[in-house]
Amino acid sequence: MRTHSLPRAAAALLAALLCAFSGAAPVSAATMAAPLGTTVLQSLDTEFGPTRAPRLFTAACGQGEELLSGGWAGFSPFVEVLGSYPSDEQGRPVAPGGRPSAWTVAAYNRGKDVLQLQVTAACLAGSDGQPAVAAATDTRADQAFALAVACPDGTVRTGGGFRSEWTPQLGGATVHGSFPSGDTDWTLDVRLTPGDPDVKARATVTAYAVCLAGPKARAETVPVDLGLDKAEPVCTGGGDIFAPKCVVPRSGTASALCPAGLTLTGGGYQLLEGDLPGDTAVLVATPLDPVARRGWTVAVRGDAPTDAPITVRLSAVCVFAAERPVLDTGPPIVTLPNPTGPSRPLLVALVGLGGLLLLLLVALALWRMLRRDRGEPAAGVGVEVVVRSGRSGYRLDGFREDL
Amino acid sequence: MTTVRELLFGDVVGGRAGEAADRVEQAAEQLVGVGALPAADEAPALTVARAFMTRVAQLLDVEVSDVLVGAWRTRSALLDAARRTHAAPGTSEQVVIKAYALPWEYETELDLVVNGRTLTTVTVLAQAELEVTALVATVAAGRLARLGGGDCRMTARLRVRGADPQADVQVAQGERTFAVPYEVKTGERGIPLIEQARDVPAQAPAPQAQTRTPA
Repeated sequence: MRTHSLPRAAAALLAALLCAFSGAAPVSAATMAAPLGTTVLQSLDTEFGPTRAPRLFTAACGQGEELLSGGWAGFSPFVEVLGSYPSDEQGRPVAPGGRPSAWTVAAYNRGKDVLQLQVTAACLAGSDGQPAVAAATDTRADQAFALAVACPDGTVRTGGGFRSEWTPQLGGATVHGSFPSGDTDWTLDVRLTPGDPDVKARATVTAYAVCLAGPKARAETVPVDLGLDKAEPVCTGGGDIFAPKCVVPRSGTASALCPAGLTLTGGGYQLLEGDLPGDTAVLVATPLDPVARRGWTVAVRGDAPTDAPITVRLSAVCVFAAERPVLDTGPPIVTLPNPTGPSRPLLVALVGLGGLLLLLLVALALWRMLRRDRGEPAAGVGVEVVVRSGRSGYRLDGFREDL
Repeated sequence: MTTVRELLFGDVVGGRAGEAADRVEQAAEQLVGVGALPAADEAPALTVARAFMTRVAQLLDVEVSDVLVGAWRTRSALLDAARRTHAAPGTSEQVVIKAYALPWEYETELDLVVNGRTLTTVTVLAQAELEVTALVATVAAGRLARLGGGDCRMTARLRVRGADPQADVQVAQGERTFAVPYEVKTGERGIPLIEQARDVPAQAPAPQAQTRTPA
């Protein structure tokens, strides 16, 4: 649990006091390009064994950093990613309008071995921007559908993600595309994956966009089209009667780089041509390019039924600071009371009161930080599960007896 | 004796060490993964889900033999034989049932309380399908006096349903086949199948007992 409100309140109070003392106006008409901040990549490297339910892995931003986006590197087609979304430090999805502090990946290990997974959170340091989550959830029974969510006006879309719910009976969905679209939207291309064959498949999917408010900034997307390579077909089976079953191994990796001066905040991938070689073919979609450090990287690998062209478009989301008003040394717009106004003792009393309040806020913030470090909140949590009602019985409509 | 809990989560005794705990943990992770439980600011989602699933597992300590006998007491040829033999003291009947099925359901509503605050009410539904084949039983004085054979296949499912209708998720499933005489112990007094036979011990089957055989 992170608390930024107290330091911010203290800073605002301090700024107001300084402003009052100096007599300077906070804003003027002059402008300059302000630095947006620095992207810091926080990653979680983990290993996990075969699972029957999705497991959550979370990479959290550091103190004073704000979440921009995130991604994963699964390295194996047996890692099925059901969600890659903005969350809190515990992996809980952030409600629309909420402030994310981490990036979580929900993944199955469909294989029989221990597999690796790297989760990366792209965080912004040294900025006064505040991210908020925009989310749209839909439950659909269509075989394929798109779902989009938009950032509100006055914010900058820095990244996005998805979360798909899966049940053995209803099945779920695989996301074949998760990408920025237009200036403000984040769009998902979703395919249904059936569960119980006797039940009509249905999928509940949530699209997320991370929207940064505060700094004057603009975003642009840098697309790179990746045509998947094809290897020699691999055939199995076959004989005098049956034809062999053949697949064409397909693979490709590419990075989309932001131009110099622009900050990478996130990215996505979109199928432009053909079909993905398998529902788990996107092995890597991460801002943590091990070489360039400023590129959005996507790796695709899988077996396709044919050697038809498959093209995936990577889109890096790059943000740059726009012009913004700055402090001016010109004539003040807001002036302190002049010496002919209220008496000097009153002014001193007001400033003293403000200082005292500032000290109290700092002390309260320190106390809360110390409490958090000692882990007291977690130790004090009481979870009870109370039985409200219960009934048991037999379903006579299912009765069958044969003598 | 096997319980519904063991059917769903694995054997606590005799199974692989930690298997049952692992499966409860997996169910908790699944609940978190699909967002079936509402978020609590005070506690991590997995902590809440673990506590929830542990309580659910405790509630499912219901012996499968009780489920089976309860089914026979609800509707079966054994129940009919029990009524007849109770009405005619000194008689007994051998009942042969080729196949028998009666689904069982257990539904409970649980309040999830974190730091004294009720987060939500969650409905848990356990379902078991019973399929008994080739059952040979002796009924006397309204009681199940002896089981001579029979197999039972029991399939159990556990679903959790939150306040949100979409948050309906199956968190565990299990199936087991067992010999009915192994799970259901009649003992010397037999098992009462009707209320009136509760205080009357079963009598030893008479040699000239009436016998019902398959039609």
